[in-house]
Amino acid sequence: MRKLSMLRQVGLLTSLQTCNLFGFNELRHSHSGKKVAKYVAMTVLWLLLGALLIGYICLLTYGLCAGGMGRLVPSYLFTITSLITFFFGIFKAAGMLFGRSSFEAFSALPLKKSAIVASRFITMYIYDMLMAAVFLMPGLIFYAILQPVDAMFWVVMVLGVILLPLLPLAAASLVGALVTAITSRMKYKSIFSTVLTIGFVMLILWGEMSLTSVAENEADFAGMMIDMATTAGNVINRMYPPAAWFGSAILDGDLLSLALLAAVSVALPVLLVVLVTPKFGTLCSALNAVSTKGNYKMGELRTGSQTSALYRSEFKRYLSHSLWMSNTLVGYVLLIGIGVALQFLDLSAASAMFGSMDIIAILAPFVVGLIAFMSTCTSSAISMEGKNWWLVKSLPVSARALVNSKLLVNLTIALPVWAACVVMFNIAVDASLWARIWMAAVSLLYILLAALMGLRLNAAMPIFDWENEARVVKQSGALSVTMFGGWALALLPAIALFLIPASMTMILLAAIAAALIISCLLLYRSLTKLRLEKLG
Amino acid sequence: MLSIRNLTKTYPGGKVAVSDLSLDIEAGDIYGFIGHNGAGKTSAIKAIVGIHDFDGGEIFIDGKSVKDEPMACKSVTAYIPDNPDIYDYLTGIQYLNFIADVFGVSKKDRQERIARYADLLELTSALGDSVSSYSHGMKQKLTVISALIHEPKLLVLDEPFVGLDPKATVTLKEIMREMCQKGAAIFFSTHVLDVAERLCTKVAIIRDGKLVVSGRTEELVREGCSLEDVFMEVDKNA
Repeated sequence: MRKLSMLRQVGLLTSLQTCNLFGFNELRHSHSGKKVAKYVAMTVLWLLLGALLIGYICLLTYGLCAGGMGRLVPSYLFTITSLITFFFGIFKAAGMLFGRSSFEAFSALPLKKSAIVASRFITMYIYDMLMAAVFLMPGLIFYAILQPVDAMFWVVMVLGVILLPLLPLAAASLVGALVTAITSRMKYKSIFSTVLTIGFVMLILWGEMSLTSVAENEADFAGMMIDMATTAGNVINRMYPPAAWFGSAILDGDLLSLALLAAVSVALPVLLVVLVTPKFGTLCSALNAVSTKGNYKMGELRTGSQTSALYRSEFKRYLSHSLWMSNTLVGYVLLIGIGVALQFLDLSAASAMFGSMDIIAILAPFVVGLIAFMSTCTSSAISMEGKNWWLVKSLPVSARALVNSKLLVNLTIALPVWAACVVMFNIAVDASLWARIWMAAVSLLYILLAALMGLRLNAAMPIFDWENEARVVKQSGALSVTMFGGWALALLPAIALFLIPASMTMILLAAIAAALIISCLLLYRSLTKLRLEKLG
Repeated sequence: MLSIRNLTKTYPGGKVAVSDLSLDIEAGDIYGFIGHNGAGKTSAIKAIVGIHDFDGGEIFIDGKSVKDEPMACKSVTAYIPDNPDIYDYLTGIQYLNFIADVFGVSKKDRQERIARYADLLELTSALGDSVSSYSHGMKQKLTVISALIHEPKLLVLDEPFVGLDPKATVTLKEIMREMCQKGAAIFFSTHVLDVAERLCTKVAIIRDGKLVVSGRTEELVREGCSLEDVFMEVDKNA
């Protein structure tokens, strides 16, 4: 029997893990016209979202160039892309890098442990490199259209795409593993893991805001735009040196910076693989450990209604998936943060500009709407049933009961946040009674609409065959359409309010509220008429 | 108790999984459903228990149509799948209590039944642990207990003995016999022909989605001829 070389082993494992990239392998071997049509629709949707993203990046690039800060573009894009890779990496690392089931399956085969570790890292790297290409390349190409560049620019751009994901991915793997390790033995590990993850995200956001604030203060001190560019450059340099090395390499052809970037980017992941490999099996087991007692004695059992049983089960499911929780709670934490910040901000400037603080009260529900559409847990709630979906379909559970349980879980999370924000808002903003009433009512309606829309879209685009919850709570069509479609539903009325005469504001708000109520009723009606046996 | 009339199930892409299948399972029957891998057993079972929709025919449980009155049908049915993918974020006892709540089982009945079946299947001590820590066999035992909590009139099982230890297999067979004596009906698929021959009062053999043989086990298994011989003969002539 021929023994495979290490490189061949890595190649085989990587190709196995990436052959279904974007569901392509499944599509290739599918004979179902419905599946192909769904795939084409999803591709069109992702292309549209990609076009939107590219448009935004080009706009940002244009803005920086027009403001005399063109030299910042490469390092700025490099930093942003690295941050995004890092955030996604934290959420993915535990599942993809340290997943136990596939490790056990591979361990029985004549494969080296280092090959398994390296292939998993490379798989994550391939996904992230594609993401780096989407984020980095359009901005740099647009930059090259606006500013003269040499041949070295294009070489370094390609190298940048290749090198960029390595460092954030290695750092994210370490943080992700650390979070999982700290919480693996805890009874409520998903909750602790979520708190730690949100903590990391908030810490980084706070750090970035602090640095930006330093930049602004220093710029004020200099009092000149040109200094602003220099200061911002210094901030990026301090915050993430590899971005500065990339900037020097791509703009000035600085080979030393390029060498430094390549060396550091490659060294850390290699070090990670070398350190992790010897204890990989133990690490996988420890990170995925489940504690057992085996000493249960029958006691008094609690009884409840079908609705409360479904609600409790759904809520426990939510609490047991840290990625699902982190993804849906970050927005609400931010909303509470905005409410707290309002208590300390001087809102008199807005009052002076618009005549009263009513404008803040009128716009606030749309901010709540924006966050509700990106935070609703219902856009993944049906898909999260996953392999358990057969159970719901075989039990005497109506669509209405199932829908109610999933909506109630979302409202259990969203309503206390909404109530807290309404209270904090009313304390901080001196608006008219009507403005306050509309603020509370319209924001509540947006929360309801987001929950119903998320659930309806998930019923239209369910994914039950997921292995890693990231596929459902980070990359699903239902989630994306809810978020981006919802943003349009929150932004367009807000823009309309600015464009109409002030005397019409209350009438338009009433019309918006009526439209939201009708949409909610129609969506709820459509959800309760779902035929569960048709799904999945 | 279970009446299947001309059931046809076609998957997207055109594959006909079940074609014109008709069967009658009466109260007191233990009905074995036998066939090759991919013969259409699981597809038929999933249509009966409401997991899959079907294109043609009718299924009646306790006189009610699965299509028209799904909730009424499901209320008197229990299903045990071949692969027990259950809520692994709950503990065993939480899962059983959830199922009891869904079926509206009284506190006294659930307490009695869980205690009895968990003891019989030797799962009581593990009921406080998370289902995610269970082995395949333990999950299978838990689904068996959950299926019995509401004393179903019809029990549908897909390869129920796969993954169970020998003692649990014997216990499950005893439970199945006891249920039928009390007037319930049991319909189950299996590859193990010995078990079917000794346990079932009636059997049906399905091939490529079509019913090829059905009847009382004692009538099909003639003197000096086992169910295995019948199956092989049917397979050869098909």
